[in-house]
Amino acid sequence: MKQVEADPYPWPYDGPVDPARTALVCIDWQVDFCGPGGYVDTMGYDLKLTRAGLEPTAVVLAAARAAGMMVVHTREGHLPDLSDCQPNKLWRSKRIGAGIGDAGPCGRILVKGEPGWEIVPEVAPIAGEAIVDKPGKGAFYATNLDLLLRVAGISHLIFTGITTDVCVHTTMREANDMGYECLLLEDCTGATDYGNYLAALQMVKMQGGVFGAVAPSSALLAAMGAA
Amino acid sequence: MTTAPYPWPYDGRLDPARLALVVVGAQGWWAARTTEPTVALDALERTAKVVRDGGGVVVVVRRTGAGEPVFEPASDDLVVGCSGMSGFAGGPLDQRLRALGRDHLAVGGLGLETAVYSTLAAANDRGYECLALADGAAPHDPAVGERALSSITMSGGIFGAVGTTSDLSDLVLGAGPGPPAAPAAAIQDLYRKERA
Repeated sequence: MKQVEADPYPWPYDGPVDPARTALVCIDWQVDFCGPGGYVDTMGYDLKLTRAGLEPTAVVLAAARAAGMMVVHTREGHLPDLSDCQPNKLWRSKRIGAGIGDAGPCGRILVKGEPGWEIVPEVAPIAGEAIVDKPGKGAFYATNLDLLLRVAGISHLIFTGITTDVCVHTTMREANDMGYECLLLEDCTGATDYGNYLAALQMVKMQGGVFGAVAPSSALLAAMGAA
Repeated sequence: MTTAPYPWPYDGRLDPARLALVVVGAQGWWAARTTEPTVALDALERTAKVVRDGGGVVVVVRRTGAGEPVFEPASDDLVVGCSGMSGFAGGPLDQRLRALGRDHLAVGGLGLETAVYSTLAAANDRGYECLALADGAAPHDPAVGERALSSITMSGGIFGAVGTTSDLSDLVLGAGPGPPAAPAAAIQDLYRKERA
């Protein structure tokens, strides 16, 4: 394996990609965020934007699995009685007409166990892969993600998922603050607004890579010898 | 009131006893890397005075190793340390805010796309009701900063609302006597009953 040709520096900073210390983190590829009838669809956003990264992510997933890399999937969702949903989050969702816990075409919005909460088949977890359920945007807050990664000896994280400016950024920022070396795959992510997606990529790269680096998935596959 | 995408805070009239103005990134590292930092700092200075006088608390978060402070705290302000871009990373911010009963945060400082955005995202997950101060947050790149503000307001206010330091001052000055904001738990109960 080699370093990834990434922006603004070859990733990772400390040498070639080491599959034993690197995890692929797939954020919230759920029907609620990229499927018809889910939460994002109910809010009226263009699903093409959040679905754009599905195909390249499936290719990266296959390569990571073949390389023996740890794979982590995250899901945002709440208990059926919404006792783990912050009241302001609930209020905002209702105000925009996509209330968390309300019945929709894919079951109750953002509720655990409902069809909308499931990860879409294109990038679904396989047996043995870690799945982290989170009540918020960041995958580290109120979850065991940090513990899972530490036990597995992971220090480097490669991110795919949705949405770029919200759950991906919140998680990547937390990871970076905790000392993980982070890479975001630009074609494996999307946001509800294309301009905000582009700005979110830019935010990672500013000031010499303030939150890590950004690369196309082709560059990662090339570095892994999987292209 | 001009806060977007909803009149902030979500739970009614602002209670200054539950308000903290959180200033992040006000140090040399950011001052050297942001656009017109003094404009944001001056705006924060003005609203900080109103917040203090009105019963709010001002919290200045400083990151280890990020250079000279550029925002002068008053004697009653709280100064807490952190070790990351988020003011909540590696420091006592969450604990101190909880101990003071401050669950409504107005967030500003230097580094709209870095320190401010990270702090806002972390605060939101922790249940704080947040207002990002557009004129009190200096961007690294104004075009990217505009997008950061846009991201905050998407999906009905994914991290809270965006307003100005004047909005905040007006809210504190207009707080006066009146019904206090409904406690968060009461609002959640309301939704539970509605569903039942």
